[in-house]
Amino acid sequence: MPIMAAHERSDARGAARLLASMALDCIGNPAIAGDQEVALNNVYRLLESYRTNAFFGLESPREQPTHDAAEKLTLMPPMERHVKEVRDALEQARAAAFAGKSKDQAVALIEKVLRAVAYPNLKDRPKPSAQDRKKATLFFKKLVEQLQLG
Amino acid sequence: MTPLEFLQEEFDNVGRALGETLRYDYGPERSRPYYDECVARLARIKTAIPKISANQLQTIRDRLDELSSLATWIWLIERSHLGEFSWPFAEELRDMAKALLAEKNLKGTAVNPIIHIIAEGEGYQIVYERQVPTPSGEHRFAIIAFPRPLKHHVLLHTIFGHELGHTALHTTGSGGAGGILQSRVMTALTASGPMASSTKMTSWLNHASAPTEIRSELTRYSASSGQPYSFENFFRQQWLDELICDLFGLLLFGPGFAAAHQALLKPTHPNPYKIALFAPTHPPYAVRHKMLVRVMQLLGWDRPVTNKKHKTFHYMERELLTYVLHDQYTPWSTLFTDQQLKRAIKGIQTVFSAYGSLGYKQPSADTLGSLVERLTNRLPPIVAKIDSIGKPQLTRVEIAQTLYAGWVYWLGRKHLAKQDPLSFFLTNRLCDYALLQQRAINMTISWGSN
Repeated sequence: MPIMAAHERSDARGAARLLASMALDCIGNPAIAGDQEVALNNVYRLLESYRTNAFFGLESPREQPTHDAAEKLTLMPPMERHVKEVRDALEQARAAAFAGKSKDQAVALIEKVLRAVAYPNLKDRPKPSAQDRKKATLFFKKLVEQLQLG
Repeated sequence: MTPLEFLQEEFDNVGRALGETLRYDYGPERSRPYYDECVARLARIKTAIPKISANQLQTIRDRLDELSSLATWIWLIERSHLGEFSWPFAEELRDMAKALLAEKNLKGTAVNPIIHIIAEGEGYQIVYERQVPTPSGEHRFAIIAFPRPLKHHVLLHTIFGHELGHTALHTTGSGGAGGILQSRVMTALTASGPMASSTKMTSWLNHASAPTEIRSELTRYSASSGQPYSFENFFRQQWLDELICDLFGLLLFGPGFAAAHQALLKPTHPNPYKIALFAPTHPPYAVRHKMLVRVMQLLGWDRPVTNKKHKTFHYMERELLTYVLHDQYTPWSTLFTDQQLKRAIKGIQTVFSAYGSLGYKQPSADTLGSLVERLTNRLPPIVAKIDSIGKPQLTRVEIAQTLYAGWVYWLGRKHLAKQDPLSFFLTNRLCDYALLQQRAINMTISWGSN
């Protein structure tokens, strides 16, 4: 038996928490965002998956069958875990920051803020208001809170 | 050693592994982008580590997990030695995947995936990045894993059409193929009928017309669990995923996909109605087969491209179609109406036209005849004619058409006048050579037209 429990690795909550923290830092201090372009684009990937992917965070209600020895020996990446919890955390953060708004509306506004932070000189794109930034900040704060691991 | 010191140590270890592993080229000019992406990810993690304080234990753990993920991608490249899989098929697949898996970033710029190919001990699979990305990755990796024992079996490799469907379906970033597949194809298949809801799936399973195998499985489930079976939404989504990918594979590779689907899946499904009710991750084989047969009929692929004047080749093609279209399963196995299937086909075709003019096109009767004739002469199936002054007439043949010819030869070989036909293995090897030669022909045609 491996020395670590399988659930110790590939925990989607950890990656989501890092992304949310980095987004929060960049919105609060846009001067550092230039160095975090890739991370902000990964926040965008996460938000798009949450918005459009019907399979995002879909987890089996049954325990997955254990892999046999040959499967363990292959170098395939370990199965990603706790994506459902990430989806739930995104839902709760959205409800806290965007009450009464649809998922599409909320995500579009957050992406507008991220775009302006990552690419401040981009032309022909609507600029977010101070209120928009405030809402996006609240969203990421709530998301980090929801993703605190034990 | 403190957790933060261990993180630093792990960072150094992954850096060393990267330096050692990627010193060599694992394919013609192919490992460079892979290497560059790994180096860039490591550099981004490097800038993050000094900002972490020793008491930020969760962040240390999250970064360790990110390093572990990067290490897995680095080690996977060691599995890619040329010669362990069909290189020309892999290159075709790489081109398809690159087109289908491209995404757009916040700026609206296209970000191409990095496609890498390996041989593994397991079955056909494509490994894609996590659903929740790590902060450091710019280009997503997609690893195409060929089963090592089927090194030259290009006729079976068409099953990759299904695996590519899975990956495309989950590429939901802005401009991703998954957006269209989910909004159009999934919507079509769930608009009505059993797949519309879990409740309807449960009713369908319990329908009076269900085969005895299903009724027995339901009875056994009730006896062991103490309650009647109820189909769960998670598994309904899984079935949709699988069925869409079967459709995707068929539309990408044509009847050759249906032949490979049957050749690979039928032997492993002695009970074609088996559902495995405790964890029904895949639809029963009968359902999948019936859907493929119906789609082939709707597309007109159930009719041979040859006719009686092509004699032997016509009879051989009919053998292939008989094999692929033979459907002995009960009408209960039909999940979708023709209208639903037509809308789903249209949705997939939209993706194919938007992402690189993909999709199966039937060969002309002359082309098919030429390809099969080459195989009967134990030559790779390409169209290789030389004109009266000795100049080669180069003809572009799609990969799916070459493989269709391979299946026609193999399944129709009993009609050959000359006995001692090629084995399945040798048929595959000649088709593999043909894909290599065809690649050279296509490049020459492209250069000539520029």
